[in-house]
Amino acid sequence: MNTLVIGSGITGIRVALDLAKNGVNVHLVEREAAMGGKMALLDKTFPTNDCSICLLAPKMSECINRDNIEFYTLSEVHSVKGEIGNFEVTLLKRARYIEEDKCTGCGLCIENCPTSVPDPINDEFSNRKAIYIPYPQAVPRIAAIDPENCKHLTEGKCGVCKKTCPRDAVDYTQMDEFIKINVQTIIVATGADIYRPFEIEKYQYGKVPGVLTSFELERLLCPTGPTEGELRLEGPYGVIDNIKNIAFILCVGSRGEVYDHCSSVCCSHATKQAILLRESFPDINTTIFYRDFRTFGKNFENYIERSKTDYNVDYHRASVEKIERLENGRNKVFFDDTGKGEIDLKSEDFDLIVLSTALIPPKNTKELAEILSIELDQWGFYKSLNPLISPTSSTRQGIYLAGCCLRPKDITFSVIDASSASAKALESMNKEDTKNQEVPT
Amino acid sequence: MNGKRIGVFLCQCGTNIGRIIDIPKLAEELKGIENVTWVEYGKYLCSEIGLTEIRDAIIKFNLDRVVIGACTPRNLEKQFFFVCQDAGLNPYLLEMVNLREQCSWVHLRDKEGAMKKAKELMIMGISKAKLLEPQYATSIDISPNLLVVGGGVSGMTAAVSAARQGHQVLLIEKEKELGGLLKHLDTIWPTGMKSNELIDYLKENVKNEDKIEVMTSTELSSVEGSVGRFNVKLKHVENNPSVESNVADNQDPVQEVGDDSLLNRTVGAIILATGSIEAEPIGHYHYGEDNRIMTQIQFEGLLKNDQLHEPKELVFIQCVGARGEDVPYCSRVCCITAIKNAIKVKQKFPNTKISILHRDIFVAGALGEQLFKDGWDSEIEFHYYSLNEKPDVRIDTNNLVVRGMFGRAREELTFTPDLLVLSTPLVSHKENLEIAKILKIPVDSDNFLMEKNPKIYPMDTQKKGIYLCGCCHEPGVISKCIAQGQGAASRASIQLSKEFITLHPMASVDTEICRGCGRCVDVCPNDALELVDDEFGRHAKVNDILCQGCGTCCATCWTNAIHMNYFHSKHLNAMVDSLIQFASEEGV
Repeated sequence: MNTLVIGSGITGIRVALDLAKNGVNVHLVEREAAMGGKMALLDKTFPTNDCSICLLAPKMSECINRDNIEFYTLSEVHSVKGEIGNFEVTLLKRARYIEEDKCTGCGLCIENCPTSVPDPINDEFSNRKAIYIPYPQAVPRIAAIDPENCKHLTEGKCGVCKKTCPRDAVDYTQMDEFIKINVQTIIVATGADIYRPFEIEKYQYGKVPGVLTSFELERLLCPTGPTEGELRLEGPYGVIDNIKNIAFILCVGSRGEVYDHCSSVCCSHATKQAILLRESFPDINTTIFYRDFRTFGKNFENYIERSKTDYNVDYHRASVEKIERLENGRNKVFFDDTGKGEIDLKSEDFDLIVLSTALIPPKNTKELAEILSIELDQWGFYKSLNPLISPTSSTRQGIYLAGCCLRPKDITFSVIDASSASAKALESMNKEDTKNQEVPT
Repeated sequence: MNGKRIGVFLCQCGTNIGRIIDIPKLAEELKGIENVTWVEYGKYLCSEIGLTEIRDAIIKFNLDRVVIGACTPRNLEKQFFFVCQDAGLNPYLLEMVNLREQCSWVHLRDKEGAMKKAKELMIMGISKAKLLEPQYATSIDISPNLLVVGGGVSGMTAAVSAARQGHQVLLIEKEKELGGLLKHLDTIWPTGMKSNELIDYLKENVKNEDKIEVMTSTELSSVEGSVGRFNVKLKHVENNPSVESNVADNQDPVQEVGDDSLLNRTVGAIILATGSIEAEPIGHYHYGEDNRIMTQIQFEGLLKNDQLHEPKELVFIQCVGARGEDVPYCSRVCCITAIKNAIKVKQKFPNTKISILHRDIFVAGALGEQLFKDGWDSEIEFHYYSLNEKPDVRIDTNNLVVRGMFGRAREELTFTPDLLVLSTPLVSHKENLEIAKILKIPVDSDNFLMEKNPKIYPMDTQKKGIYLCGCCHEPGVISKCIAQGQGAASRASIQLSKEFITLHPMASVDTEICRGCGRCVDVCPNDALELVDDEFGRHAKVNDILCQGCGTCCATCWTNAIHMNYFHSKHLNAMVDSLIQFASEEGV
């Protein structure tokens, strides 16, 4: 039995492990240089405040160490022919410019690389080198060269990394390659992107200092983030420290603002961040502006209650109408908590404003849908064959969907999807292989 | 035999431990301890690089014991166990010290105290590790059969999926008919499929799988054993059991033992799909005093049987008894159900005025938000109320009167509905508690069955080989129950596809000391002990398959003949001694 799994965030990892443990040979394909997806970048998870990478890291090393999981980094699906039971898949594996079996991840090349570029993982709040390991616990822990920024690959100069590498793992001549594989089923787990609300005028995102997305705050709080867990801003939008008052604004870009859907996780995510902030920095005040509070998982309601009673997080049912930059460096939030609109706006000043933005279909969703010949739904996510009775089946036989690429959800739901999609794939592969086999009782 | 070359590895767990406990300093302080050969620390020991460092150190320094100061062994002991094994060290020579849950997390505000405690815990762990002895695992064959408890939507889905994955399935249901809560519903969100059609579809799927055996009017009576080999006793719950079996003729006939209402089976894994029930809103809004006041499911019954006469006005009240009242949680299905039902009424009777009085409209996701929008477009009124200003309901001679302060503007509104529908939460039932007791798995504070880990193991229980799906885990919409049912089948399939299962030796009997009194046999809750007569005379013997490692036998044995291999009294004594010695050196 052979399956292709596209995407190696928590969903793809769980699909790969469930299938591999059921005896399936898994081809796990990842666009980035390492597995982990969004979960690897989170600090903690709600509602237990359990450390995110601690839950994920063991799964990642299990994945990479299994004989029947083949992991392809920097790779994308290029074309798919055939049908259920016999998909002929061509992968495009982009050059890493590093010989994977030689690199030990020692990091010498990174220390010596003279080229710094904004780190996409931290939304440009920090820099990384042109040769990089995406994050400290990356699996596999192997360096990769960013071909757009490497001085040697772009201008033929430098070459420091090759000189420094004690194992001679750097290979500037590596080329992109096509890999052909045959699989019986395909599972798509490409996740979601986090919306950055540049286009929504009223939030001033990207225009004034001290307005962040919740994911950017998450990176700041994370011990492996740009400030190693310190609440200090040194981003493209100026320097802010001595933060005392923080506002969270929910549903930014969601629920009709730009995208129609509710992103499911933002209410709990904001609560988690408020709790973490109050825990680490007790003199910070946190206020959450919300529309409807949606605590969609087990024990979430308790979590919200606890944030009020034990951590004094303020909740405000109000719609935020605008944000104004003040001369003292703070931002004034104007909000409507009476439903009367303009005539009865209230306001409050904050040092930092955190926008809980929408989870949106990842870039290249349409392209991949075309390659796989599967349909999208009205929200731009992959479409369930039947959202009630076969929630994780796509509109094409033999291709299954799991996690946020299906619609926004939290880790728990993504993992449920992952096992459900695995079950569907196992069902269809079992039918062919063991139709007439007796199963002992 | 005793550890002479101990390796100590400390984890900062990002900032989880590192922010409270100064790990580099602790590492420095532990270096001088007798027999400690190597001390190392890292930001995340559980990461690939952390694990490699441990493996390399074991080999390089020829370590004969490993002590890891990190998070709870529940999380990652397995990972470190394999690392030891990989490095050629008997993995039972590993000791984990919990510096996170038992130290840094609980002493957030007392760094100095936490630091001292961390050192004490590590010293105790090291002194225990010195005395650890190599153990050797055994293995057993696996029964390839699966038991699914509960024949509602989740259970049927799980059974069908597991059968299609190639496993023999026994599906039991306590009622006479399959279907569960679904039988009482009208149409199902998000597709609007009729519940009867869904039940028929699921039943058809069950019937089409030769590998599924269905037993209705059947309940779980007792379970022994562990993953791979659960010995299950089933009982019929009514005088007239209807055993709808569609097993092929060459199957083993049903075994009957003693009491003819009991059946014995051996299964390799169990999926629980025992569901939940709608709470009765007793004491809320005059429920029970007037038949115009009903629950959501009673209202679905009217819709389902086409018994609803055109109402002039309808009012739904959400969160009745939920979210901080009788139960603390949000039931997650009621808003969706109320809006779905309201839209259906509107479509049939466009002139009916419908108001939904809600706290937060819980319709997460894309399809949920769409439903909410459809509700608005159908001219259903939504009015927000807060918990401290709940609407007031009065029963007048002719009318029900609902009055309250609504919306952000706290506007006073009055409604005079013909029918008042109360959305109450789904709650766990007493059978779930009984099952938890039989299987010795925990329930959460709301009496739902508890998962192994809320994030990465939502369908596993604390006990290997037992899985969860549907509303016995938490209230959820049908589509989620279906996904979870399939998911649980995939999880169970992992165990059932193995050829054998490894058993860790939990307890052992010193046959020279044991006098064969049998006290341990009497107290063992898992029937894992028996008395045998052999060349060592009469003595107790542990059945590794049944033993769950609870330790009751050791506490009972008056000759100290039974020991927990991993919590031997000599380990515990050494830990206490080392602590006392440390305290006296520190001058406490």
